Amino acid sequence: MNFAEVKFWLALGLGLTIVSLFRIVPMRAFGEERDKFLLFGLGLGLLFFVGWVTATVFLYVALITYFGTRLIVKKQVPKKWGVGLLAFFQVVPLVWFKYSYFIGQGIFGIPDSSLMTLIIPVGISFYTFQCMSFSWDSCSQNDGQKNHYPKFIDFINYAGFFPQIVAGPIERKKDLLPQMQKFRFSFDSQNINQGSTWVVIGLFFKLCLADNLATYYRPGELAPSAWGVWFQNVLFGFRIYFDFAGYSLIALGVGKWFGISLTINFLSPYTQSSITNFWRTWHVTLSQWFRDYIYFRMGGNQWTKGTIPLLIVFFASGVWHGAGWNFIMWGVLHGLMVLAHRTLSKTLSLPHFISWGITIFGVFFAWLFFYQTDLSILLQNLNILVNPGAYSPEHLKQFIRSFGSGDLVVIFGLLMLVFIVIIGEFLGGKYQNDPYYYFSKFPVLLLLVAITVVLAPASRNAFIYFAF
Amino acid sequence: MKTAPNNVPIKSIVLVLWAGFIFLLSVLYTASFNPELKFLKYAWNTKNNIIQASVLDDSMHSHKGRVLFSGGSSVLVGIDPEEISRVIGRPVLNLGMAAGMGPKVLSSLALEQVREGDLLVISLEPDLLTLPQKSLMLGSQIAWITGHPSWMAPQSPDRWIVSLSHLRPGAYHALTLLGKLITGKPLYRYSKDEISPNGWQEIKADSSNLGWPVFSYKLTAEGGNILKNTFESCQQIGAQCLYIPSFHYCPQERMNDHKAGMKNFLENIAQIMPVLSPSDFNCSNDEALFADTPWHPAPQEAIRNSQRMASLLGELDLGK
Repeated sequence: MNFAEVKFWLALGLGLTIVSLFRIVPMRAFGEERDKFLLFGLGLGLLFFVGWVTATVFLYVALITYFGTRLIVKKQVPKKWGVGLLAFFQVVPLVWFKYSYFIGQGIFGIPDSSLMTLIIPVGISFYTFQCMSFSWDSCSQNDGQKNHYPKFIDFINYAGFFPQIVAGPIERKKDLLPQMQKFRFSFDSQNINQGSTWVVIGLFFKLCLADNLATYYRPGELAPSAWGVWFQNVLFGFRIYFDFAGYSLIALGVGKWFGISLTINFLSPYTQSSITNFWRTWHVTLSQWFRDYIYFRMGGNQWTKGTIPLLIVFFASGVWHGAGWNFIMWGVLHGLMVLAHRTLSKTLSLPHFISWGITIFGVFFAWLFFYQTDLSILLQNLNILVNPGAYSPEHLKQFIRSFGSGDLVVIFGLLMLVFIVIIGEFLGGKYQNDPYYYFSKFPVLLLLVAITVVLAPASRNAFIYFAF
Repeated sequence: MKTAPNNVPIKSIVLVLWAGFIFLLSVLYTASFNPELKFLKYAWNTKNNIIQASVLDDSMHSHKGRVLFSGGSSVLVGIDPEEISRVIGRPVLNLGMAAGMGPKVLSSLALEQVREGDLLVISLEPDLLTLPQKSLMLGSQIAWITGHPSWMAPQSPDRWIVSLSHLRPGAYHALTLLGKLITGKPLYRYSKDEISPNGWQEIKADSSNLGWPVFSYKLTAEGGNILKNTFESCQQIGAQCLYIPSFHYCPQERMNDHKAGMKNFLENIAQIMPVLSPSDFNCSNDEALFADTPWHPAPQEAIRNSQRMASLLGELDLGK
């Protein structure tokens, strides 16, 4: 379900044509639920279009979640161990496909190349977490719907709503399920226009910014100098932001076309002046998931003033992002930065611009741990970064010479575009409380469409978060 | 679906129509005004005239297998076909175009011309064979505007649509063009009068900053497949095929590593097709021999490079 590929839109168009045909022919058998079944059929069809393993694994997780949770809610299984057992069965595919090679090779040193070649089903981390949150919310005492366990069709549409199944946002039961319970195909111009606004901004982020930046992302090929490493860090940091925020916005827009409101996943993280706020605005739904289901359930601030729960949350966040030591280091590093901010912000007050600079420096430094999966290169690059000699003017000259003059112009142009977008987000956030405020204005949308059509590169890169 | 007569998403419709309009403008610009494409189209037309003449000559006279040089601009700029032909006594065609067209289009273009008894010399720049090839825009554009969409070989309807969607400037072209407009530089560094009637580009551009070629020295799977397919196609046609590295620049401080890498790279290729290479891998550390990029020898050096090619080919039994 790659929104950047023509074949996704062709498949969606075909699917919607089929849906429209079914809606012309009366189908008494389905009655009131007809539209819900059609939405399910559309989503499942698109998922099978991605791959049968992807669709099958999703169906397994969804079925085990729905029926397992029902057993617990209906008290046919004791809640105490039922929840744990269910969680085990829910995460089995995730662990198998995503972590088995790392656990075998990386931790126990058992070489098994067959595990390395396992292809991770797209979106497995996202829908597994969404299903787990469904189970835990349903089993929680505070769940208002405890005595009204949802129908299967509503649940499966909640768990597998196609715009968000492969890369989020990770929606909560209370937000998405009621919308699915009321779902009808309707042609609402307001929803379509609102959806189109998100899709245009998302496509601009993805095709124009992320994909163009990706053409210069070559961490293994540059001359080994600190300039090269920082350049890759900055490039990757912007690329992953525009890639993932772009996907999330397109998901939001496509969802809106169907009358479904999803959560905005990115709220201008690069304009935040503290690492804590960075995490409140970066991949919002995942951060909230970790906060609610791990941090608070471990006692939150009550236990060790939140230090250990926080480190565990960021450790888990690192593991969630990828099966590798580098991801764990990235997560722990962020945890330490948040702890440092918590501690220092009580006694130290810095001007906004300085604290923003420190935050951005920390975030972009840490991206090295995220993208560099080869530990030996990672350590080599760290060595370079801490060596003052690697910042010499001669190294800078060599670094610049490694690009053609045309490439330098393009990199400068792209970074200027990035700068304008970040400024736009900052102003929108500060004065309108909406980072996308200015981008949503119609003349700006027309400009974004024109820039995207003209500047989008030929090659389409898969969304980075598909790998998670 | 519930539809009210006034329930028309005007804003969305305008956005879609606007996108279509901008795309059509982009196609118009690409087909008619893009200075790089105008130059490459002219280069191709010149080459095509020579190809047609060589085919005519071949059918009118006794068959003499031709030698076709295929590659990017390192061939376009670095191979004077007359110089080689004079030495080896066989018709020589320079099919070099632009590396940005990608190895797939460049090899499709060459294979379309190969006939029984010909020798196809592949001098694709190593970065085309050792780095993931992403930027296919120029290849699609040339394929469409010269009337050869088959060079892209799109195998499914969505690939055709993707190939058509490449008829836009793209960031590299648009931003560098903008830079040239702002700084008052010529819109394209090469001109049509650099193209000789024999298809060789006698380059006039100069640069004080050559940079150096960046590639990994390890053949990618995609690069290997392209070479393998080209070699097998030549065999089926009854033509010979071999690889010769293009003449290029490398700074002295990187020379040892570069030569070791080139040795590895050519060994990779030798597993697929025969390789001919001078002992120095056709590499020089003398900046003065080059025009504007590490792959573009200045005209005098291009002639010397052609003589080196001729003597290399002379070692083969070409059956004059």
